[in-house]
Amino acid sequence: MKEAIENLLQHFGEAVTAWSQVSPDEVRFTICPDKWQEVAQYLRDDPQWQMDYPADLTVWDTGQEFGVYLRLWSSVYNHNVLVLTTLSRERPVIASLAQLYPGVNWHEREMYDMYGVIFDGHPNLKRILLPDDWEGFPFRKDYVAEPSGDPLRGPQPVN
Amino acid sequence: MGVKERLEKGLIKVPGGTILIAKISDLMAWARKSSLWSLTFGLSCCAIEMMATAASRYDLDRFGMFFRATPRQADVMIVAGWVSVKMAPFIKRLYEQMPEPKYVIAMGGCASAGGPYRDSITIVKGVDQFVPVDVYVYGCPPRPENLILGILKLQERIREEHLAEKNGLPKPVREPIIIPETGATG
Repeated sequence: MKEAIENLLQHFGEAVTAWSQVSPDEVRFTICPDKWQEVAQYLRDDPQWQMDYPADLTVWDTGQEFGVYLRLWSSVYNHNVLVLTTLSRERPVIASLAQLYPGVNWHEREMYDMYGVIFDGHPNLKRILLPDDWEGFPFRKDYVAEPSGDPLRGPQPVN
Repeated sequence: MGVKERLEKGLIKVPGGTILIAKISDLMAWARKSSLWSLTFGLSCCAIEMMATAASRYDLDRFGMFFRATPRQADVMIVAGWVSVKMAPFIKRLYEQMPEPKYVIAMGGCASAGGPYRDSITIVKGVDQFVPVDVYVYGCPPRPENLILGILKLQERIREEHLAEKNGLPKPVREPIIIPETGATG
């Protein structure tokens, strides 16, 4: 695994801003968001990685920081990789991975639904759980809403 | 007692015969209350109890009640479970598609008032926010006996409603029937 990490760091250079090996078979990379798709493709296709299983793709929002992370698993080497990147809260745009991993299609729709992350290149980016006319992204830490008074409509965001 | 007076009380059977004499309106009320067809409407865990109520152990068929998969053949809608904001317009539409006279039973805490999800932004705080409810059955979920009690009370009401109309009395105000929680959890 050590060689594979070195090759990845060499391949992407400055795009990987931080990394740490948390256990013998798990490594975390913090990358800049414009290399999101390239890193995922590299991890999937490189023979030293072969991360063929997208275990998780979701958002984290601490109130200050806002970003997405991707957890991959390799069924060949039994390695885990966590790829993190931070996004701007005002305009969270990131490349879609739905072409690489068809399984994350609905994950990305849910992330758009709840957090408003816009996935560039997603085949069908619209709300998946909430009603189509819902306003706001309710899982964000800065989401504040008040009841709309109409039981058939969701609450209205205040800010 | 003459036939007319006896007819005021509803159905009479001719002694020794197989003939029933009744007013058409009485017969209609009797038939209506005895064959309440319900709209299949399981939304969450209360639906399990509703299915148990319909299955062989409790057997809703005894009361002439069974489930239809279309609102056009249904008389009563049992809303069993929580109602999300996304689901509510469809419930309203299904209710509007049911032919009159129609009744609604809110089964369980969620359909009655939102239940444990009352503070959630996506859950409607009771189905009575957008359709008129006739019977509230409390419980989380209610036991099948409680649901049956609610249905029996609703049948009584259908009967009374009709009798009041027949006797020229004002139609009773339709206060909702409330079935309290009983049994092991009540």
